Amino acid sequence: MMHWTWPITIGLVIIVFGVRAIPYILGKYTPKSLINSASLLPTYIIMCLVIYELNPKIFFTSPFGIPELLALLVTAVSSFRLKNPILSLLIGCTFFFLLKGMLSW
Amino acid sequence: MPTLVVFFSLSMVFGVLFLHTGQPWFYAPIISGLVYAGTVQFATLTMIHNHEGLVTIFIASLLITSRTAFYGFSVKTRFAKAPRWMLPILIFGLMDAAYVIFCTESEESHIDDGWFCFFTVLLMWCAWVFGTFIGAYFGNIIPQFNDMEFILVCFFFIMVLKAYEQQKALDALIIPIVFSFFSWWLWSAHYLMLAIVQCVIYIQFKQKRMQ
Repeated sequence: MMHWTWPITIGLVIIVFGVRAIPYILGKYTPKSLINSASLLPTYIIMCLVIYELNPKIFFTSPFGIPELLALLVTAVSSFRLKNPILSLLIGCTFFFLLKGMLSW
Repeated sequence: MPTLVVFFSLSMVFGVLFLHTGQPWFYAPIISGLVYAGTVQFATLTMIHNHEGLVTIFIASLLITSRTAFYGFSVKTRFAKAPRWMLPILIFGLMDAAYVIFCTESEESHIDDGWFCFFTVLLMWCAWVFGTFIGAYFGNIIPQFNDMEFILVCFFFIMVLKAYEQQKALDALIIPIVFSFFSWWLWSAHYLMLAIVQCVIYIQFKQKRMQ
């Protein structure tokens, strides 16, 4: 697939930039309600992304996503307690990788 | 700052994975710099590896990246205040993590918001390209990690918690999970897109009820 690298890259550049520019090109034709709800959207979309990056598959195969859920719980508690995003990110990830390491051991 | 760390490590993973497809190492940073879309890049690598056709790759990328169009709608009024020449750069840099930063850092907290957005995008782009470079160049030395995506999961989750503390809307935490699992059950290949569309419709209903 070596000679396909550049056609693919150029195609991707066009697609990605084109999609990101849609709100500006078609701005006049979008319904007003969609623009109004734009301020509420972010939290919902980021939560969708959390599930997407987790991949629902892990909940239906052993160990049923338990390490992930435990690590997210630790992250949540630490972020509510410490109010420091970098620290809770470190704590959550370290906890997760330790847990995973212990499981595979 | 935390975003840059997350970004750097993820793009490094991309560099390492790219090397495994057996192409010269210096292609990886160039592609990262031009395409600049995390998920699309990872997905395309997998598809190239599985010898999928060109059309499949492009359609899949289009579906994956179409969520950024929704991001564009929600930051449009904010970008409109930035200088004109900046706009294409801001549009180019509007990927998942950049959008998350724009959401959590409110517009009013910066004196010159256009420049703030510009530097956010610029810094993230540098971190992304440099990370890929490091990953591809030292790809043979760095051991391959599993579950690297969890860093990103954790990062997004903290962002959601931060937004929850501000808005105090519990349904923002529950509804996306329900929709995600429903869409995954419905059409697992492109469930992210489905879930986002469902959330958009849900918010429309919610707003109508509030009025």
